[in-house]
Amino acid sequence: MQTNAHSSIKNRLFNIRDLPTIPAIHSRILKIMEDINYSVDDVSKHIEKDQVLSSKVLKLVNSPFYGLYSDVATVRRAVILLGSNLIRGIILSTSLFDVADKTLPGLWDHSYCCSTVAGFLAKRFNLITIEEIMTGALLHDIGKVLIKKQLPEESRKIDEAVKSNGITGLDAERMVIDITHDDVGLWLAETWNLPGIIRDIIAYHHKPGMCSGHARETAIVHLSDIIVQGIGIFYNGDPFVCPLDDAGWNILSLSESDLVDIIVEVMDIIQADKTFFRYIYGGKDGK
Amino acid sequence: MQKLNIDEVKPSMVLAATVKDKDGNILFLKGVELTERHIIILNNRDIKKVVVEGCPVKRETGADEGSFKEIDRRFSTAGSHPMVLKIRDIIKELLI
Repeated sequence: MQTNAHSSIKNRLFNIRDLPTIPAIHSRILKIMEDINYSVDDVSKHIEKDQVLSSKVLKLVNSPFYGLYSDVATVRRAVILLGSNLIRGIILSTSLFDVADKTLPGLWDHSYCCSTVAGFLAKRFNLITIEEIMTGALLHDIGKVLIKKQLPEESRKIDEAVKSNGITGLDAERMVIDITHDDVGLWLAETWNLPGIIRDIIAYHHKPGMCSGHARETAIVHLSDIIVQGIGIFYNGDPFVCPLDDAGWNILSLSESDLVDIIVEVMDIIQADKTFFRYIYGGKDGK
Repeated sequence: MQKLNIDEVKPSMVLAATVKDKDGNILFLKGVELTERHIIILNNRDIKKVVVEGCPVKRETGADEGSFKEIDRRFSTAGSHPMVLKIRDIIKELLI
């Protein structure tokens, strides 16, 4: 690709004035949460004003993967249980994915499912960073949303390349715009000043072995992504599973027998979650 | 490996995955050969499904050739790492 064309693509992608806007109420909540001693009541009150946000918060806390907390009915209790990072992740992804729901059908379900599977794995590994891992998983494909929004024409070509060449979205992005959604997502995460662990997960979710920071957390999201995609919960335009990163796999030191237990449990829980019925029981691949 | 409803489970079948109860407590480890007594306990603990070795129950319905082809197609880009192939095969077996 010519350097000029490439820098023009970059300019259009990383044009801060065109960044997806975060609704006023969402940025209000994010602002409140910047204060480490934020009031749970204050945050909950604002979340309750937004129906979509409230329902997503309640859905995540009541997800079967959480197990422990059955029937959480109030936003206030959900805010306490989920923690500030995850609430921030839900707000940011809701702002962005609302735009994306129509243009990238399935991407929110994929991200939500990855987040719950990654949370389940984090619990299995006894990691205290479970909240950050779930947030990172929720946001791991955020770069795709930006590409779709800023480069609609190229985005169409990427989807076409996936379809006609039978390649992953990642390879198609490389081919068409010579930059991939993990790099784009990292830029967005830096712009938003997200914590380092979440930046690592977004930037390295396809190559956790290259991550020098939070490699274990990133490898968990990498594996969750592959399992969830493999089961059939994905953005409609890209059904393909990305390769497993050998170094990333080794970080987790799982045996083949662990893998059986993990996938059995993940499928049980996915099959119990109404959100995914249409992927598993509906038409093929949720189309 | 096959996922069975509890009423299809018979003595001498071997568990292919660890069985946990609703609270996540382990009931039986994988590799256990089931007896009548095990099956009574599974029923008492309200376990609905278990995964056993082999493919002991022949089914009319269940996953068809089409869904297997879809899974193979999805994984056609996933490379040849033995564990990614394992993931593909586990997903397929659990659908039977």
